[in-house]
Amino acid sequence: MTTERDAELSALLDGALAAREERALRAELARDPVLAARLAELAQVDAVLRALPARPVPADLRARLHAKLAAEALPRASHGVIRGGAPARPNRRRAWFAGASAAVAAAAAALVVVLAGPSGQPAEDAGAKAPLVATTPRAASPLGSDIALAASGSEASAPTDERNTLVPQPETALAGAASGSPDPSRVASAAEPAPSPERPAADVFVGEPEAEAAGEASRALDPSALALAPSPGASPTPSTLGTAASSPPAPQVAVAPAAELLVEMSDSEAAALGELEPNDVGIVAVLDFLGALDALEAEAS
Amino acid sequence: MHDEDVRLMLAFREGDDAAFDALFERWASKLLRFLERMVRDRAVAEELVQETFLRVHRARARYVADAKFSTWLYTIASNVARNELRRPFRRAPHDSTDAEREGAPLELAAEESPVDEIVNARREGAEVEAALQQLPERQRAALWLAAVEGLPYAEVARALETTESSVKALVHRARVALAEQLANARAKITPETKPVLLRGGTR
Repeated sequence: MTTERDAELSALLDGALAAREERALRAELARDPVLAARLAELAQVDAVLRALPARPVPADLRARLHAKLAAEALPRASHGVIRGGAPARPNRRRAWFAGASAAVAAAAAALVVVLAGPSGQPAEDAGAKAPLVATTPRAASPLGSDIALAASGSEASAPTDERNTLVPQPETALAGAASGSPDPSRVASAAEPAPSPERPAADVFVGEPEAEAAGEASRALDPSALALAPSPGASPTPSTLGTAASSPPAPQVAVAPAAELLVEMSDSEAAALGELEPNDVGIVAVLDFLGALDALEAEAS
Repeated sequence: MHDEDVRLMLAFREGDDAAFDALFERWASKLLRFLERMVRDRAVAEELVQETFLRVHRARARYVADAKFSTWLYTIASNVARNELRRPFRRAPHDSTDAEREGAPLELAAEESPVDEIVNARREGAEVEAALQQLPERQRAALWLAAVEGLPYAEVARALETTESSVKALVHRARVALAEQLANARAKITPETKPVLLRGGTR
């Protein structure tokens, strides 16, 4: 029995021979019992395979499918936010996302844009065109629940007497757009709140209009002038981002196209990142911010 | 080209979710059988059935009724199975055959086999099933789709993204290999009967 002849018999079983070939082969089978026996052997394989019992489809398979479909139907932005506790069935992708998100969140938390002039600043600073940049104090966790992220429009001619307040504007540019190095004297510190007679301080991030990349800003900070904003009420405007305990309103923030977020973390910050849990409320606040940015970018594109 | 499956798929494309469920009902069992043979693991096969239908769901807007629905579905399923088989660190398959689950021994007793046609058929099935799993992936897929599901070679070729002549060769090699295993199994089951096996010429 040749391989070619086996191939013909196999094709015959599958109905894959042309009519003329099939007629010729059947005529040969009628004359050749050995060939016919070989055909029967091959046909037995098919019979056995077809007779293999089929187990029923699990009753819950369709429900499981629909659960996956429902999960896929969630808006993309909501995937970017981890709310509440850890997922019931953590998977590698989610774990990766949590880690990556923590890193991105740290970057975002380290960059805060405000528009305000600190106490005692010259009046010309109030009319700054570029967003002001400040960072969290290096000694503090960048993702604490007491962090407020503020995005600020730069066009605003913020009154100097509103220093130490967050004055976000709808057309905000993110910190990365800023250039110039921060003026240490204009950054308030939480540990050592900016001396402001009008306000209880500690709710402001203040930077310099000419601030350069955030990493530079981070290094140039004067710890004595940094402020960690107590989140709620940090700003009355809807574009204020980030209160950990409450859902922030939809921010109206635009990312500057050429923005580059350069962040340098100290060892202590990196260590703090490593200890964060996915359900850390600080991360939730930051991820809300990032999710909103994501949505805005999607809209823009 | 407007078979019932195509009609359902077109209805689903137009927003009829019940049509999607109907397609699932019609095809889940066949897909499960096919994918179980491909990945050799029942639980994984169930996951892959879901993955196949997820892809159908995602691709509904792009569906064009230019081929039989079964061809399209098996193309997706074959890709899903191939991805699974290519996955690094894939866990060792749990060879849970039907016969094993039903309590039939996989090892054939060459001696003292009860002359019982049902038992023998089950054992033959287990032997052929085990031999099927040893075949190369594409032979396995081609034979199953052609011999069990009855797809024409042209459809098998589309599903496996190859040519009809290649499918013909794949099916032939697979069938011959299993025929040999089946003859050996029968020789063990009924040792007193010398098997008559007409082997292929070059083997």
